[in-house]
Amino acid sequence: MAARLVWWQIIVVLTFPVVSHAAAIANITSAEQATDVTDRLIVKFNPQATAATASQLNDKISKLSSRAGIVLSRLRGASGDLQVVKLPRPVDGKTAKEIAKLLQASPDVVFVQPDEFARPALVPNDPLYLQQWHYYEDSGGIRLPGAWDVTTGSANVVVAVIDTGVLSNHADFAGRILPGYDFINDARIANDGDGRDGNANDPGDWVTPAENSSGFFQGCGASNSVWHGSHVAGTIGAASNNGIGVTGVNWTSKILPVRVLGKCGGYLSDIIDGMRWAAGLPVPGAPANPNPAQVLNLSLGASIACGIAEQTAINDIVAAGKVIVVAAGNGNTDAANTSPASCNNVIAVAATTRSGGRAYYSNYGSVVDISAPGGAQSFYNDPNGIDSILNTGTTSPAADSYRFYQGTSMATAHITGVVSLMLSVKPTLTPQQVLEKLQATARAFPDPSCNAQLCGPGIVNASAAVRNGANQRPIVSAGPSIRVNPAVVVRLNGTATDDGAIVKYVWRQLSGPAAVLQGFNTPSLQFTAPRALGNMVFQLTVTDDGGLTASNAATVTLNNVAPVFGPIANKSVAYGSTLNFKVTASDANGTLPRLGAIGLPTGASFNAANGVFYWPKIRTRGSFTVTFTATDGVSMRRRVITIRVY
Amino acid sequence: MRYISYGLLIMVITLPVYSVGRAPAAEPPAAQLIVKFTTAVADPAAADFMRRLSRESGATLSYLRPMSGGAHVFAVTSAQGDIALDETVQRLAKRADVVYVQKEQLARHQ
Repeated sequence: MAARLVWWQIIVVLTFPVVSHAAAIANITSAEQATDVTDRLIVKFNPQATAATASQLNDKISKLSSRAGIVLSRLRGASGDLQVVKLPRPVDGKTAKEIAKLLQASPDVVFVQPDEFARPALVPNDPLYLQQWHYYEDSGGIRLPGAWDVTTGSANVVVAVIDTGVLSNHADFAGRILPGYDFINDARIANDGDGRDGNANDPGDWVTPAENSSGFFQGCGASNSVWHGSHVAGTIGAASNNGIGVTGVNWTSKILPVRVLGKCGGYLSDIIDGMRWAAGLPVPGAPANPNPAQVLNLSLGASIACGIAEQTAINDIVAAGKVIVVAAGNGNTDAANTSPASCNNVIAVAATTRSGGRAYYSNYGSVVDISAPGGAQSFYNDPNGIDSILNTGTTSPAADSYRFYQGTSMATAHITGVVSLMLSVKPTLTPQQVLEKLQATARAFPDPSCNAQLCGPGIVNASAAVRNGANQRPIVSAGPSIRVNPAVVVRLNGTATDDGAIVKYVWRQLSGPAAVLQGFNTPSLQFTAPRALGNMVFQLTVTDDGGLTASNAATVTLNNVAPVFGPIANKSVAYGSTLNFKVTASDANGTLPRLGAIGLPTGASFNAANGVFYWPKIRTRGSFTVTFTATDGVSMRRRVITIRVY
Repeated sequence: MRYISYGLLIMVITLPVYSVGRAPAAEPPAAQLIVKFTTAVADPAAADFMRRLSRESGATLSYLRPMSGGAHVFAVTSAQGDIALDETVQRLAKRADVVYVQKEQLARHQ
């Protein structure tokens, strides 16, 4: 595999919310599933610290360790009076930023940032990849290599190409094509000798000049076979990194060919049936689809506004959670007059050029949701078009080939491919979420010929869309740290947010006096504070529907409560008698109070070990004040009694 | 795909070799309608129903096939041009037993 080094930008804007020390510490999460991982921070200390000795620097870093609650160690100095500081273990980018944010508040620090790990972007070895400017060029490309660093697709995702069928025997489709279906009902249009059948291969869709001049295909326009479905499918998912031909956007997810276009095009009724079948919905006369698609590509259109028949089908399909990507159309007109681009609940795609401007043929307008490269050609096989799979046959299939085409069809294929990557990393994305993420991450048009009114919010940014679409680690809080008295009922209310759903809560006690936990698999933990002293640390770990976990801890400090005396009454005794009583005290924190007595009358004694006061044969009349003390070593309680001798 | 700015000369010379799209078709090769009926219509293909539907819509309709989603496809064999077909669509749309009706359209790759 060849590699092209694309160094990530190191400077990171620290925009994460301020978190508590405890949160920053406890939220150090495993980096196993993260894409941005580092075990280092770059620190610039204030000038006084910069001039310090190594020992003094280590002291500074030790202070930072205390502030963060984790062990930091100095690795080395770096140019620009920087220090490279090592974290106790690798963490994901988000956690690293949170730690940096925490340390940034230190008075010794000018700035702190994660020392991010730069690595090469994934680049395929397909020989025609370099001609596929639409994937990687700055001005007109879709930032695809960055997306490939996250995923090259999932085998669990199926992409339906609802088109002219495909050339499944093309070498660059090896292993990529599922058995599809041919939904063309009219054998003349199907051009394969029959109506509907289970063969979605493209037999060719040529129209001869004679056919164009009279008969069923009169006025259709004479043309050679164009192998349109194969070109579109090749962009979405040609066999990639296989040293052959072109690269597809998605290298892994399978292509489901659904043939609806033949000679002169295809009937809406066939297209609607093909769409429903692709999504796994029933179609009369057709077998059930064993491989329903999650995303449907419709690089086709008719010059009419969306009708109720196709809108109903689209609504049904989207309600089933499927994403429908459609071409805005090639008429250089408002796409509001093109179907299905003007239908609701689809992602309508306009085409841009190699320089990022609107392709001259591309439809435009408010119904356009996003733009992608469709190319703009000036001559046959102009490399300013989109390079993909084709065939040399002008009528029936002949030899494998590759050609540059242009069109909103090609732009649509790019979006479909990106959507399939997004669904590969987060299968639970809804069609609406997919659109929102595509639009939110789109890059601004570099050419004023496209703007938000004409071409949607921008050109798709595959890298950003896939990363944004990826499952985000949950954010969890175990709640604030609190102080409680022993023996009271304590409730810790944890909270968690996620881009999907939290499917699991687990509380566990990390340290401190043991408690019997209730609700440890719920957001709220309850227990009775033990009769003890010290800090109890409880960790809440949540798991989201994508399997990512996050943890946060809260500390419960058991307050020290002064000992409490048992009942002691004032005493009244007769001269010559003996006074003997026992002083008792208890401590809610579980310690054994240490007893004492102050102001004992002459002849009286107090045994601190057993609490017995003893005054035998009292020979002095009067009133005596005795102060008893009970201490747990931290707090002391006093009890004063009066002894009257009469 | 339409090549507008480079004019007809290029189109004549090169069509269709590098152009994958074509001008949208004005009309499908055969006029067809997509119709969805209410549940009041048990069998849209029944001969009696077809005769009545044809008489009341002003065109000769012939049943072609059921579609997914509960709609049906009809061939229109005697409506004359857009106006006549549109009139047929309007008449059908007004029927109480019709959920929706739409002219069949030919779509093309873009």
